[in-house]
Amino acid sequence: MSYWKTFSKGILKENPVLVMLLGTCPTLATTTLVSSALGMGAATTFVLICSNVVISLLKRVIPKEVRLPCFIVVIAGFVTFVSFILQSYLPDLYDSLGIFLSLIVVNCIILGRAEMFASKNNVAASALDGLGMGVGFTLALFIMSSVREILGCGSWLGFSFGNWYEPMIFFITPAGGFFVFGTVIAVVGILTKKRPKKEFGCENCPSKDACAQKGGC
Amino acid sequence: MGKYKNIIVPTVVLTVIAGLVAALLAFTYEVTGVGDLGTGLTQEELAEYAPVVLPESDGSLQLYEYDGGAADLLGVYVNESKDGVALHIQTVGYGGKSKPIEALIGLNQNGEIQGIAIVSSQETPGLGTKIEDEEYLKNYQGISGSADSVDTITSATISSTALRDGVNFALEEFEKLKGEIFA
Repeated sequence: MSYWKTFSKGILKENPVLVMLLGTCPTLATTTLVSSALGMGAATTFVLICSNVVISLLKRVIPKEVRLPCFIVVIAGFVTFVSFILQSYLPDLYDSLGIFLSLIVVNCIILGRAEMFASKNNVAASALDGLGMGVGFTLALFIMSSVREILGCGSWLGFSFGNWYEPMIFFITPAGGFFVFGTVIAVVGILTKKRPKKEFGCENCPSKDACAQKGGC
Repeated sequence: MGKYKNIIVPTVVLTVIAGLVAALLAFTYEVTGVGDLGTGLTQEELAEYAPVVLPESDGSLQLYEYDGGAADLLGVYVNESKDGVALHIQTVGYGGKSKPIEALIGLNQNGEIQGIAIVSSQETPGLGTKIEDEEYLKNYQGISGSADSVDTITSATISSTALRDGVNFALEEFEKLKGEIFA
């Protein structure tokens, strides 16, 4: 696979949030305002790239019996590092992300990329894969939060539209989050011309390269 | 040999990785100084909040040593002319006990609220953060005794109720300590 494809597959074709449906929890929880969604996207992208690089470097050292605990320790280390940095230098962003910053540890996108990609590929490809997935995650959060902030708060990136618009509070509640999430997934499905087949074969599955089931799911 | 490969090597590798990560984090903790971020307000923060919480008095706020307060009373500050007091309190909102709302509440000698500043909060952006709105906080101005007459905010019910409880707590604490400060 070329390096460009390694990077670009995360943006639309294998978008972690909108196609693979991973990391739904932070996607719904941190997209009430564009600024916190971008902060979350940036923090996750940083952790994703760093953990992919380190895990790719360590892939021959880590025995397969303890690979998941090792991945989680590395990921948790980077997440704690990011939270120390944000707490001391960007306390406002740290406040707005709240508990979801520490929950990046258990974000399935990061563990998923470590298991499916970084532990099988070289360092450069793993870093690009992490960057692509991170950009895809951030873009998905950006689109979701833009829709929710514009409709639900009557502002965008903190700039208010003025008093003529009465915000629809529904869109920043959790229910509105699911509504926007479903709509965005549907639009991405149309864009990628992905239609469910009558018999859902493995060739349609975004995880087919890493899957050991071979049709047993 | 099987035992060595299946049990000892994985254990050693995992221990070494965990130890390395812990050491690097301890180093970061020292460098960033996260542990030194105390609960007290810095001089810059006091200078920023003083005109908000006590708009009618000028001059800076000074920490007043007061031991009798409850755990949610984080600090007591008095202004230079000794006719206004600001209570630094915390109250549990939507963020839970580990992420309380911290507010600074300014009162005059008669126990009337002069102004409120939100020092920090981890409420939901767009919903709970509406309690930080200046227009909303103005509803508390002039209130004494009990803040129950102030309405909560639709879509920020838990956060605004928590703030109101915090203000009521501050008003109670004020009754206890006013004799000592304005003696």
